Amino acid sequence: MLIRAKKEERLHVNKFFYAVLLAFFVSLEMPVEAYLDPGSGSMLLQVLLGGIASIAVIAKLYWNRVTSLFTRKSAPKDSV
Amino acid sequence: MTTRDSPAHPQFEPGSFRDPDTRVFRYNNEIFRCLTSRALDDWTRLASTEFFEKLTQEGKLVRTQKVTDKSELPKLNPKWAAVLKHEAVPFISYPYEWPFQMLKDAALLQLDLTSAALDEGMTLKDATPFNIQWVGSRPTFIDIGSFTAYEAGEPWAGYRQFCNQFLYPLFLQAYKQVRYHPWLRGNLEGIEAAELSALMSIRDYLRPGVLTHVLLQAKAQSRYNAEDRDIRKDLRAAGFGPSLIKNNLRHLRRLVERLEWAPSRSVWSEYGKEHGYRGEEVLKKYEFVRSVLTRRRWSLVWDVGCNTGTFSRLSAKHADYVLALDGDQLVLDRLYSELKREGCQCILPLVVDLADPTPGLGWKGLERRQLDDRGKPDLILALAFMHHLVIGRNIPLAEMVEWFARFGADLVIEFVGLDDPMVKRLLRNRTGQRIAYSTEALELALNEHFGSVTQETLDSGNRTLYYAQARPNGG
Repeated sequence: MLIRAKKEERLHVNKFFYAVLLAFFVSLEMPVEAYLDPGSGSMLLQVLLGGIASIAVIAKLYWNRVTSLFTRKSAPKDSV
Repeated sequence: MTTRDSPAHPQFEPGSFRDPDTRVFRYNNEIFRCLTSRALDDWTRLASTEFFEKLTQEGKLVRTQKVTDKSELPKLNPKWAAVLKHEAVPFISYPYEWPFQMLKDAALLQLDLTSAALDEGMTLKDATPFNIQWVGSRPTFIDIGSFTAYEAGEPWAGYRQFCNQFLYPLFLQAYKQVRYHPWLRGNLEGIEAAELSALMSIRDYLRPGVLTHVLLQAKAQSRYNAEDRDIRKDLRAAGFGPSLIKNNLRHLRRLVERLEWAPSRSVWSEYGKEHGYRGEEVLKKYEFVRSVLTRRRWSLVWDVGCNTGTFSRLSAKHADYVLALDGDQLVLDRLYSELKREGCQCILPLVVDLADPTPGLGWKGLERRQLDDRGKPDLILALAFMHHLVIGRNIPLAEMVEWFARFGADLVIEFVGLDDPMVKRLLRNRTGQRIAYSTEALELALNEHFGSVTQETLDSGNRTLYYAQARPNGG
């Protein structure tokens, strides 16, 4: 009886140990949004391939780039 | 995988590792797919869409159901939240074995699925022909794990892969008359934009799709792929949306639909008209093969050197599934088109050169399996074929017979004599060489590697048919 109880206890400890170990390893896995790299150039090209709807997106893309240049320059000044 | 699988755990298919959210395993001859909790969310969403139900009914998506009772399955790592069961396809094949029209139809299916998914707020993680398999002449999409929720502002993740693995191979063949099979077999990732761009002449720039999908894409890749800028974020901020992807898909569909490869003839495409038979000999040969086929129901017949597919069609009446194998793409392209018109789902045409059969490729050489690992035949037809190996490719006759015997299948083999016009053509530049090619040599090899052998010589005396039965212990 005593031996069986000890065995069961050990099993419990083992299960707990493996659960912690598994959680640890799972936490080590790097989360990625997409497994396939769509390629930056190919993603950008898709804007051109979008037909008439592209025009507004291209305009906004350029506009955002211009404004981002502006905000980036001003950011360090604010922090000083 | 972070924990080691014990023997009680399933052996995952070596080709299913790319997407860490799903893995496939075979158990008791059935196909299962494990899903992480993230993939389970995607499945739940997919199962509730209208297109999933509709396209499954049409056979364009593999039949799939969630396994409710997992007690019958091997033990799974707790990282897998659910298991799906897929209907198995009769024989796995790869794009470097498909004739032009098959790759084209697979491309159209990929585009249609992506479009249908976008209409209901989903998309596909990738766009590779390895996710498409065939039930005879019907393409069916097997990677259910590829469907995922579409997030606002995201571009089409599979566009580049679609170009590399579908569009560029089709361009190569339609625009440059170059077979894509060795290219796809040589690199599983497909053809890069820069590689195809380098092959295009100024005249090709005017062909539909070349300027945008090839040249511009090659330029964009060389300009932006090395940049650290977060293009995704830029696109989202600029209001990129599904309507742009839909426009691109529509344009690509029109483009692919119009691609044609139409050479007038190949070495073997006129064989049906030119072969050296007398009328009654064809009938006798037909009867001989039929008498073998009617002996029992066959599960898988390989018709090697199938040409127009006459005997593949005959076999299909007495077998569950038939592989129509030939090294000549044009004859198979024609056969596929006919089978598709007829709606045939039991003959699969594959471009295979038996002197150099498809090897194992990819990671560990196991990701894409070699031809003879994907389903053993129980009957092989090698009609008017062996001279191509023995004379045309210098494969020793005895080794050829030994290779056939390894499958443990019955064999119907035709010996074509030296007076045949095709044999003469193969021999015309080979004077002075000694090739062991005779009925005696063939009979010796058959008796060594097979069980009982029966034979019939056709009237002209120039052709002999043999039916060699597999030895009970597998030869």
